[in-house]
Amino acid sequence: MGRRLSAGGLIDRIAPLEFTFDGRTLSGFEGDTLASALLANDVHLIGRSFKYHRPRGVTGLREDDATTVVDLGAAPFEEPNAHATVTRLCAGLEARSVHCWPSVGFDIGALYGLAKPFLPAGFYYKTFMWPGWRWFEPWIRRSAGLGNAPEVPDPDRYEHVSSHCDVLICGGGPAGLHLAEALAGTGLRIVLAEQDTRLGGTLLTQKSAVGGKPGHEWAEALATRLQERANVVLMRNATAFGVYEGNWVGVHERCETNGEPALGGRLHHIVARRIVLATGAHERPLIFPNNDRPGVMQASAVAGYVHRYGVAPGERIAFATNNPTAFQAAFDVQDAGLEIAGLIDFGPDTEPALIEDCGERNIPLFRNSVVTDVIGRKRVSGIELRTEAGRGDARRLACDCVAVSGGHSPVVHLAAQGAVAPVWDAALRCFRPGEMAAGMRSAGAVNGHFDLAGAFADAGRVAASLRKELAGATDAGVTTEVPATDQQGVMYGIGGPWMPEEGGPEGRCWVDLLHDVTVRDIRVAAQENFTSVEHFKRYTTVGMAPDQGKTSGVNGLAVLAGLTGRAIPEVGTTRYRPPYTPMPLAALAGPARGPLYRPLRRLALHDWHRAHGGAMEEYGGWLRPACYRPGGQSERDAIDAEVRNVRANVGILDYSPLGKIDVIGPDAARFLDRIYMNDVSGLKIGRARYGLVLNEDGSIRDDGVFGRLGETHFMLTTTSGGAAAMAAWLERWHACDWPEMDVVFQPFTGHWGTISIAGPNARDVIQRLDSDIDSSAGGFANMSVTTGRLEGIEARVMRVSFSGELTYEVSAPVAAMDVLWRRLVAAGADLGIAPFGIEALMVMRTEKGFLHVGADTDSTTLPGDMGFARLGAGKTVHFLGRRSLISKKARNPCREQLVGLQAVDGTTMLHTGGMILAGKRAKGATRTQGRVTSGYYSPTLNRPVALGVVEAGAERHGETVEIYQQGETVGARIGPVCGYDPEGARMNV
Amino acid sequence: MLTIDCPWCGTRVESEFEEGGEAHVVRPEDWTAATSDVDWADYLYRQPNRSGLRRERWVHSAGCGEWFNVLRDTVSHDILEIYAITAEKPASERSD
Repeated sequence: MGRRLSAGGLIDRIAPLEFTFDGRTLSGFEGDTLASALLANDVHLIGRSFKYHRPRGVTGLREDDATTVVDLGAAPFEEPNAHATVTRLCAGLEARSVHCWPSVGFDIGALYGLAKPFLPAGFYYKTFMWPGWRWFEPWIRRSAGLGNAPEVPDPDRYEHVSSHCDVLICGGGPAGLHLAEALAGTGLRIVLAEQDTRLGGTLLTQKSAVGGKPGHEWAEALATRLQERANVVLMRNATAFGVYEGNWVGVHERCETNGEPALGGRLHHIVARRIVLATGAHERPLIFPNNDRPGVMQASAVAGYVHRYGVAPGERIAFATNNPTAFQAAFDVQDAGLEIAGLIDFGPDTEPALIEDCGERNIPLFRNSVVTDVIGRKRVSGIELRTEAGRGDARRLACDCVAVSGGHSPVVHLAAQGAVAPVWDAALRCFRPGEMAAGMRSAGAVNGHFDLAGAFADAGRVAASLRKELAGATDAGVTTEVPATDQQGVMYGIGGPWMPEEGGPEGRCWVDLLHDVTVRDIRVAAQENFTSVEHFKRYTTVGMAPDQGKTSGVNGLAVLAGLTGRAIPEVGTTRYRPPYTPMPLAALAGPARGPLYRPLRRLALHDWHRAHGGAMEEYGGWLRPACYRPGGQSERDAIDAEVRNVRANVGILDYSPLGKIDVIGPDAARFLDRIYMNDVSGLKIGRARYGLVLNEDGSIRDDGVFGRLGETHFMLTTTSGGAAAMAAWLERWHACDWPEMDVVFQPFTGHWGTISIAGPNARDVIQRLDSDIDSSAGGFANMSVTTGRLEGIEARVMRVSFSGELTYEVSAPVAAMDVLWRRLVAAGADLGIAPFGIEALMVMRTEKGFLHVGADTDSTTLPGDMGFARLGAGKTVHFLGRRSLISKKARNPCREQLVGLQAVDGTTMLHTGGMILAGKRAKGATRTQGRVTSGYYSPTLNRPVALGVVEAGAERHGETVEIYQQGETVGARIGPVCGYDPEGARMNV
Repeated sequence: MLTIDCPWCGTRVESEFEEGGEAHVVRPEDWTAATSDVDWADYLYRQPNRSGLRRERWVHSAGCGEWFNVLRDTVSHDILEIYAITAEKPASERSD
């Protein structure tokens, strides 16, 4: 029977808390974990294992428990796959067992146990191969997995916090606390991160006194003293989950939430001059037949439930151990009033004092003995043991709990993540942290000091060396005294793992309790020649469950080593990776969710667009009107009407995201000659030119128009998505390669907006504004630029057309955009002015066959592919990418080239992304010779228009090709790119 | 996450910076076929990229926007030296 003891435990018995488990209302206390509260209510069956759905109960005290995975909370506050052992009990907590149906007690999935012979190690790769894996995959996928993923977004919010400190101590157990105290007086900035709700570590779970008082009181008093210091930060509920380069530690701080949207957690990025790992050690289970039965748990956990939570995991407890630490646990448990059924000791040289103690305490001691079976299915009811290392007579002991200790594994995870391979300590039979990088230390049990005095002394040594390194050896006012403890000094000796002989009940000896990996599975892997430990892990899935090797790691390696005749260090460990314990993805995402995932830029005229039916969509990081639907008309109707109005009257477009950069200086022209494929220095003042910017490999990086405002002053426009990158590109070449050039750059995309007025009536609209700019046909031709005032507003005007109509591009300070826009709209009212969106612009530029970088090009597109082979031909300087244009590959006549495409039937839409097929479809796959890059319906031409790239396309006008799109094949004819006003008569007016 | 000493702004975290490729790469100045395809491809794509000490360009893109050179150990992630972007490659490391 599990039950609450009448006294003891660090719980608040005045404050009972009600919670539910699988719908049953139960009661616990403040200070409990979900696991301790369940044990106090005699609930031992908490979940089912992954593969065979075997009953699973509590095995550990905290993150060293591999089995108690539960789902918490109700929608939308659900938390799937939480560990009951680290879940703090709070009022109203709702917990559910996972991976079982219809209930954890009667689980249909347990029938998988009957299929065990068909589910050996690596069964994915062999059992379900005929007639084909895909026949089984849906069923296996349904069966796999543990908790249920929530279906609605997490309403809690999560923060990211960055900070720096001198010393970050990971772990608030005895070593970490003593270290913090020993360093506190130096004034160094210290952060201590402890994953538990309270500080003390093993002092909370073992019966021991420090400095003359109970360990937990010593810890609490010390914490209070440290907290008063300005240079010490103590973090509780905070797990250091990963160590990254640059002494950067990720710490996940869990926050309390209670059914209201609140702060769910913080992710701390802490950069520390020194990291000290005081992460302690985990107790390992022992391997014996049916060691997975609920009621078998680590000895330290049994003592911990008794001592910290006042919970008896059983009434009559058998201990089995290969090392002396379990003796003290047994004595503590006995002192708490529980019966010890027996102590089965497989340790090599147990000290006589301990043996005498057992005699005095009337604890039946079975030396050189092993457990050979566990009786009971959903709960332990007894064990079978054999003396003489398993060869002697079998005996049965009645018990309802088995406390086991297979030795201790230092928590080397954080050290090993930092690329320091752990080293094997043959005497302690465990891995310890390897040689540390300069910025990292370890102290306490993680170094193999499993006793309190040793841990304190070790922490003291680390503190002394850090004081020298960081604080300059000033020991004044510093605590160096090692706290006195009453813990009995015991020589730590440990026996090897015991395993059944080959042919014995290996298939019932569990190594990984959650993923159902047995000694038998490891033998299968070894027989199939899996010798690399990484392959072995993936094949057997040992340590791949939430446990991540904390309890199964060393045992698995020991078994593999034994079976392959190697030593454990020869087998080595698998790579340790963050996070150390499972953490919610929401904490990693932090505030970068929803609209903050990638915040979009808004136009100065955003509200005007919305008020006039603007359908706002994202284009290159900006929210821009795709089209205007003030009357709720369809998108297609809206776009068609906008295009017709621009072609017939005049349209007005908010073109503000157009990238704008001023380039000024005596060397501006010479500098830009190197950047642009075209000639820049020959451009006359007041004129503008369409230009291409190439990468060094010759591919098109960006396009735009550059205008010359003065001898030493140019204004560049770039694609809206490439504005920031182009500014950085200019800076980079200037700073790194041509610093001798006298030129400066001023991007002003965000400071100045741009309005495009396009259509046959555009000039009339402009001329109605009060302006000192000559906007006449003769005074301001197409491809010109000028500065001046419009309605008193400082402005720059370019004659550049992307629609193919007469166009004025007016740029002005953002603050004046609203006034300027309204004046233009008012001025054009009787000329048919109407706003148009990006989609209409895209239709019109496709009608004209104008290139859209990023749509018609990709990272391999060369200028020649787009018909611009001659652009830089007359230049005598080495512009970026120039050498790449004469390589053999660049001169290949079969490159994909830009063409116009039209369906043979004249009516079928060609959609962007359609693949242009090459030859007949062969069995299986077919080759492609290009693709459709832009496809729209043209209301101007009353037919679809499309652009695409096709191999040697420039030479193939008139040819018919097949295009595969949306599941069908369509015949299309290759033609010229420009389908409307090829002479440019409409824009050159 | 590295911490990098920007020569103008002081110590900042890596996320404020961008790496800009190997430093001291010589760009062939001739753009005709006199520079062979192989030499040009070497410049474009075939930088040594050895593990260990590497000279590379960095820019404090989310700060002052300035470029500088860094001598960094790509294995230990230690930054050994930060120096001007205009500085030449140390004579001892020049092959020609």
